[in-house]
Amino acid sequence: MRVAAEFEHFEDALAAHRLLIDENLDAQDIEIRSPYPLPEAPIPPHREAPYNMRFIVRVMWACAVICGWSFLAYTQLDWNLRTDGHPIVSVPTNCLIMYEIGMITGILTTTFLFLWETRMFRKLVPPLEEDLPVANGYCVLVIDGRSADRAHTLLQNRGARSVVTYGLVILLGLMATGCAGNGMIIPPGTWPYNMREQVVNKPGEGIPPWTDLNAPVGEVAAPDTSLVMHAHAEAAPAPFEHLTPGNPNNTIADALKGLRELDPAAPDYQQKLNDFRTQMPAWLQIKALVMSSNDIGKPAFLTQGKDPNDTVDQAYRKGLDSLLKTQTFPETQAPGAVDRGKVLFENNCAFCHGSNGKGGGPVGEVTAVPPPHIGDGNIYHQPQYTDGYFYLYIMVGKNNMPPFVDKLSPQEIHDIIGYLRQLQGPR
Amino acid sequence: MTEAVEGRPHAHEHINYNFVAPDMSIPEIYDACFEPVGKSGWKSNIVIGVSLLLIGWAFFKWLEQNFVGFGKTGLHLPVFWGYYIITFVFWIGVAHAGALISALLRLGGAEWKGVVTRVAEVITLFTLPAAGSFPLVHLGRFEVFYYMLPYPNSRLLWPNFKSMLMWDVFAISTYLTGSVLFLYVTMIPDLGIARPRMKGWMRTLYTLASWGWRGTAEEWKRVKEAAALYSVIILPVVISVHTIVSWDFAMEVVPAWHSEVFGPLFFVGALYSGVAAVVTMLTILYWTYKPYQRLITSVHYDMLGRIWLVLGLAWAYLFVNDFMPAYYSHEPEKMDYLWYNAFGTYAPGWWFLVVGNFVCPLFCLASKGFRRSRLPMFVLSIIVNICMYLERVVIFLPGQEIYDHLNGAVTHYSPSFTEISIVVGSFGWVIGGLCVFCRIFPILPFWEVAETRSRQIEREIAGVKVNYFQSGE
Repeated sequence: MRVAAEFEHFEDALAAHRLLIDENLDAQDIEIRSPYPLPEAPIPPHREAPYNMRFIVRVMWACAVICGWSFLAYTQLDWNLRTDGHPIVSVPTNCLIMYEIGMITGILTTTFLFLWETRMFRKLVPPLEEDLPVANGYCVLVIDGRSADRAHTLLQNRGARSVVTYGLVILLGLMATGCAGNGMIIPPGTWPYNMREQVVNKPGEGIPPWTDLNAPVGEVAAPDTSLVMHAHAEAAPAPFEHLTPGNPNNTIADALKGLRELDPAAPDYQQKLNDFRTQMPAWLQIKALVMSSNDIGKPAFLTQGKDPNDTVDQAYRKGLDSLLKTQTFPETQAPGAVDRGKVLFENNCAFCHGSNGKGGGPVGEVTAVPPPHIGDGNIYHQPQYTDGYFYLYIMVGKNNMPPFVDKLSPQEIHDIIGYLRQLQGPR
Repeated sequence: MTEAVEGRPHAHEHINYNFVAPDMSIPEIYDACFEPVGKSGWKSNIVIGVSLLLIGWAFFKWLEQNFVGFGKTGLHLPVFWGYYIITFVFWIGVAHAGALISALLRLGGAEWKGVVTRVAEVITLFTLPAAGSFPLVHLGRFEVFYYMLPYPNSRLLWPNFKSMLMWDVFAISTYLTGSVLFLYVTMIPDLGIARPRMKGWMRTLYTLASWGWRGTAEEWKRVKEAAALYSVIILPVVISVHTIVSWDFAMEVVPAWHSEVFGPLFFVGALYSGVAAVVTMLTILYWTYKPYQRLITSVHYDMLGRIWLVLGLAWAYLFVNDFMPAYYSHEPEKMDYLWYNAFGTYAPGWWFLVVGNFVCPLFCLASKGFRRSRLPMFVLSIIVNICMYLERVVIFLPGQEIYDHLNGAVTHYSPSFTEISIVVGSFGWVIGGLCVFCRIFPILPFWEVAETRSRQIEREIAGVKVNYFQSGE
């Protein structure tokens, strides 16, 4: 577990740092990062590493001078013309070359020690996500190890957010060695701005666990009739043995597993696919599709099932059409929706779209394509931007925006849309 | 900025010229510093294209010289060191800007160094290889370079340390290694900070080159320590390099070159032309990239102008000193050399040199108004660099041309087309290289500018007034 708190001014970061030290947190767990060197004296105790640079450079310099002198003396004494025991090159000139040897040794030692001593307390390629605040000119306090939990509590009111890094470290290692380029693991265009790995804070939950593919989907599988394409879903037979229609304990992993095990050569392939698409609730379908869309188990109907005669495809498209044409969901006007939506928006959307939905989010500022100003009523009051439009793209993501289908329940998406409509103002 | 300074008479009239960092937030400084990075434009494309053509043509002429022979040059006895060596010394001189300015300003803790240091180091990065290539070109048969590598040869001696060329090899390779590493290590923070924003191959480049920089306090401590160590080591190296280059001449058999002030004269001249090169480069950057106009202020010109003025005075003293002892002692060789320079073939260049390198800068740079004006400083920097090239010409060529004058022989030398091509090619390398560098790396160091700015914010908050150049005002 690792907590990163970012501060616009380094004085605030130092104050928070001091607070942590005053609260008896282990200084070796605390790292303070900044886009420019902070003043030396006022930095409270932090993670340190042995610091022998200056001493070693001096010693190496002296050794090199002695070695340079010996080398020159040897080469001259080795010259077997008669010099009556005198050096063939004058002493000052010898000193000159000896001097250059000493200097170049000092330079190389400095470089080596710089790389060596800094390497001791950092991973070779840190996750980009962590660098974003520093790149934005913010100072960051990073606390990991056993102090992280406590630090998170202490810093909660000072802008702390939790960052999970280890998965990205592995991915970056693969990227660096060329194993994960070209969309093999990360689809092109989403790197490095994908927040897919970012833990999403939900109100009241503190820091939620890492998105777990094997966690049960929960009760939300049953409702949401606007998206269920066949009313008799429960009555139909199970398309996959891992998946039971209408069962709230179905997991995304189950659906994915079933999709992967489909054999296109098998005689019942088409039948099973149709069953899957007709019997599963649409949101679970989309969830499964999204989760599998970058995967080798990508279902064939996404790529080839475009036949207009295919009634299932028509049904599927009709479902999406009706979703997109839904001007207003009644759930967005439910009591408390806007308040819950505000918190959800702050935690999930504001990083890119800004807290007022008009840009300025810390991540959105650095993306190559700026995120759209979804809080701008002048644009998003146009008829094509229906509630269904927002619903769909919050679920499946758009351009650099990651899908939130696995992170937000339908009710939460409705809440966010309600808050968005409030941001956009009256029509 | 007008401020009352306590304890001074006429305090209200006193103008405080302290360096004030531009009023920009840290992200704004980032955007300004990285503005040209990763972008291309038709102007720089043309510059790079022309540079490539010049380099290609020079390379072709160099190959031709290797195959056909050294007769392709205009060199002939007794003029055996011509424009190759002149250009070598010229580029070495310009290269001295980098280490000296950057190291001195770092060690001195000058607040305004931020904008200047990397510009100076990058000039070194490109001019030093240009300089180092000329001795190899001048070898004629470049493949005999291996005689300078330490290995037991038929003379049972490792490299011939009696040769001045050998000293050059040691000095230039030390300086090149040092200045490249100096530039690189101080650039690592910028590469690390910019890494998440880069796209395509540049992200790979920045990622690999930044060594996982994260900006922790420990890393900053070490990068600053490394910069201090480099500065301390490089300053004496700078002095040794150009002194050794001057010994190439002073220890030769040509009588006109027998001068004990060649060491300091060359060294100061190098710094003089180096500062001029930095002023030229800063002004071009100012005109080319609009966001830089907030970062490069007239204070930078003022401060550089002061250094420049001191160096100009020192250069003038040493230049005169080269002749003065000879004049008093009536040394015939040196006096013939002086007369030949001042009233012979090279008279126009020599007098232009005296005016452009000494009279002009002395009167211009003494004025604060001039030092703070951009265009005049730019023009002066160009004039000084032309004059510094001329200085090398009038030091090297006349001395050799009148080598046989006691026999009544004055042998004239003029460069051949091959020599001119290769010399111009080196200019193409430097200009094109600087252009490419600006498009790939931040030429203005973000972290140093941001550091200065953050210190000033800190002082503003604390209410402490720190006067940096107060004593000189």
